[in-house]
Amino acid sequence: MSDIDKKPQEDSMANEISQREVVNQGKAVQNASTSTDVKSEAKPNKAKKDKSGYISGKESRSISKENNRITRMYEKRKNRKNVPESEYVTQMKDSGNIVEFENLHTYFFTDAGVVKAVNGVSFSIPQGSTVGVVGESGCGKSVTSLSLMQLVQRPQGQIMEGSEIRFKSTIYKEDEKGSQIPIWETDAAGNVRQSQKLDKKGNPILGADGNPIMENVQKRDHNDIPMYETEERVYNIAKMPINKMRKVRGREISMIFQEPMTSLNPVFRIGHQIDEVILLHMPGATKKSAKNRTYEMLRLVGIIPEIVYSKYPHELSGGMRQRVIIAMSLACDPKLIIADEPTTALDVTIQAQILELLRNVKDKISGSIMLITHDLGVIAEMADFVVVMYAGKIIEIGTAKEIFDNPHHPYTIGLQKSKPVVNKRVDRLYSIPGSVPNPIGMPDHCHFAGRCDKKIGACQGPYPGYTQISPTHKVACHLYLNNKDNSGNND
Amino acid sequence: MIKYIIKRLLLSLLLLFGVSIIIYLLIRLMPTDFIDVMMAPRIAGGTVTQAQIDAMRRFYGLNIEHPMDRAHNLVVVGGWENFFANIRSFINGYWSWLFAVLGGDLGMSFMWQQPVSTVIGDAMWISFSLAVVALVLQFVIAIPLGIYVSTRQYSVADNTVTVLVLMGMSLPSFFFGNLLIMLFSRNLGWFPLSGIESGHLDLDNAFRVFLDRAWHLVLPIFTVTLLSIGGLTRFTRITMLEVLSADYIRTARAKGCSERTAIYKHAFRNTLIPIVTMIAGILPGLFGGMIILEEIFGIPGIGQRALHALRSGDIPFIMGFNMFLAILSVIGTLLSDLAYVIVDPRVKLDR
Repeated sequence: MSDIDKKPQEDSMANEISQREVVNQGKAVQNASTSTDVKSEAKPNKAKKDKSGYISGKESRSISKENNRITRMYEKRKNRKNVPESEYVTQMKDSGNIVEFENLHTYFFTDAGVVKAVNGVSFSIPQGSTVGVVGESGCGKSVTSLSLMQLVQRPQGQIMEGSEIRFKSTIYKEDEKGSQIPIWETDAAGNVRQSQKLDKKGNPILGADGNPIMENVQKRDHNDIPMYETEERVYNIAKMPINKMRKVRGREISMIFQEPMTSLNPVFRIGHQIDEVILLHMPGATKKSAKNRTYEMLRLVGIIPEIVYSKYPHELSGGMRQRVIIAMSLACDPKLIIADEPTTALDVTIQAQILELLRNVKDKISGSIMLITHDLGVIAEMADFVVVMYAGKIIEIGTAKEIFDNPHHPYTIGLQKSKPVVNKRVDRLYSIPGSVPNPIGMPDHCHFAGRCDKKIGACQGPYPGYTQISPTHKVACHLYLNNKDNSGNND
Repeated sequence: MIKYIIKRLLLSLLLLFGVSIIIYLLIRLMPTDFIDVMMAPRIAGGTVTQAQIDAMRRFYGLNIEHPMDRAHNLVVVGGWENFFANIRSFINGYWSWLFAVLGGDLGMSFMWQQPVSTVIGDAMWISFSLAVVALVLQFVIAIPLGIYVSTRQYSVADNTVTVLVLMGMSLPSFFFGNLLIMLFSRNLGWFPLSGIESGHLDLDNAFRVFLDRAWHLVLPIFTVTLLSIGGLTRFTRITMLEVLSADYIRTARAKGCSERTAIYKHAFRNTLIPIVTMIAGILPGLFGGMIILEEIFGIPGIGQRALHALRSGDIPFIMGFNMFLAILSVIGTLLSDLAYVIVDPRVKLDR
């Protein structure tokens, strides 16, 4: 009797437990990795999961076992010593570009399943231009930029095999011994200038014959930092080992983060934090020359260096801190600045100043900017090219003018409608219904179909390819797939 | 800064005053006193008269009535008058103690028949050397271990350390200490059973004396260290994990810092901030002795003295010892506040 009574009860209990487990695991996953925005962006999706989306503890264990296997494989490959350079040196498809993403896949192996945060993204950043990446929270725009820096939360987050991120890098030329080759100072006739070799006290050192020893004079910039010869090399960042990547980070690609309040280390002085980058990446820089350079950078971003250099971050306002971070990111003349929502945490007046500053700075260092934001206003003001992302994929890409004047994808149109416009009377601001779908186990059809107001029958079919609207403008939507008269060639 | 320190010291005087009142009150409320404990065998043997006991009480200044009798006296015998006389004697006792202390005299210990300050001063250093070594070991092991496992969260190493460390935390010192004594002293004979010095020892040879003492202290130090690294390891791990997920660590990585610099320079400096709060608790622990541990290993340190004094109702010693601990706690808190200023630039004491 009692056995029969017990059974259903036990079942329901087991059910409850497994559900609780899943919820706990979900939490654990989130806790484990709040350091990247990525995961915090994915949070709401997980919380939204409906009951049928739950997996049992057993399933979850087998998933995590499989995950461990895959991530260990990738980690092993990344942690190898002495990776041959041929593995990650490649060629640019178009020499006018500074970065080319090709078929980038960045996955997160969580206990609830694989999150395809970036799922086949391809675009390029031309030299000297600003590329805006737009999309709502959780669409993978931050992960794309973190992949470019190899800063994706490891070991859960991995750039998958087959992805390519080509970056045109300028490295220091090395001689056979592996040391950098100095640039020598020359006079008008092209001869290398020489001077007396001095000891530490500044007295000339005399040779055996009693004459002072002469040495070549190395060229120095106006901050007294010695200069070395450089050469260009294209790296595939997706395959680059960490120790090589470290030389790219901060020197050639630098990053401006969303939260100026927490992005600076609270226990070190501003000056020290900027000096650190310079000392790290500029060979031959001394504390004094690094300080000169820091002063120059602080002046560039409109800060009086004499006051701020020896301050701690908490003594500055949010806008000032963001300026400091920009100064820090400029310190080594980067080729590319990734600005990950640089103005989101600032109030509107400061936002405009920071954007103005970024624009000025870009012209001065002749670099490119990858601007990540969900604010279309910022994009309109700054970007030359716009990439619209949704659920880990690019759905529309084009020049800023094309995206703003002639948006094609229903999502892009929706985004623009949901932006408030001055001088236009609307009863209620448009909002796209629903939210980003659960990133685990996404089906192979247009991910936006569930929220789309222009849905057609084909939307249930396989994921649409790109339709070329103009040479620079393409869109991934079934509405335009067979509509060739819109303009030009189909992709 | 100096203004702040002076302010804090003045405030702590007030605090110590309150502490001394509470300690005195509690001791005087004990249902027994030194004379009872000392005379117990003779009372049982019938070799002492009540008059002699009363004389002894007067001699020691304990001649107020027992609190348990007080209610009886109040109602039946003496009425309010007697009660107030008792209270007066109580207050007088406290005042005379307080003024003696202010004059630098902690009084004579009943038990050891020596000035309290001498007893504390003598016994303190054994406990101190034991505690310092244990503390250094604890820091040297626990902090690196905590950092190590925090960089490998949920790995095999992390889980193993967590389990072992929790086991250490949960073992009581009297159990683990006795276990070690049984294993290493009784069965294997590697270490002495108890005490601090061997019997036949050439006391002139300072180095031999030192070695002998060190040999006696191995087991106690091992016990303390093993049982106490758990808390600090867990604490370091948790703080480090929190710091490692902070935005500024990502900034450090994005700058091109090596993982080593990111962890040991950028993260560790921030981990230190919560760790320095522990200074407040360390100072009284260093000089206060470990009561249970010293009793098990028969170490004549201040912890053991305190335990014996407490058992026998040695009021001057208990008062002196507790005030000593209270002063150490106050200084410890002050030091940890000052250490905060050093490690965290956001803290300003002057405001």
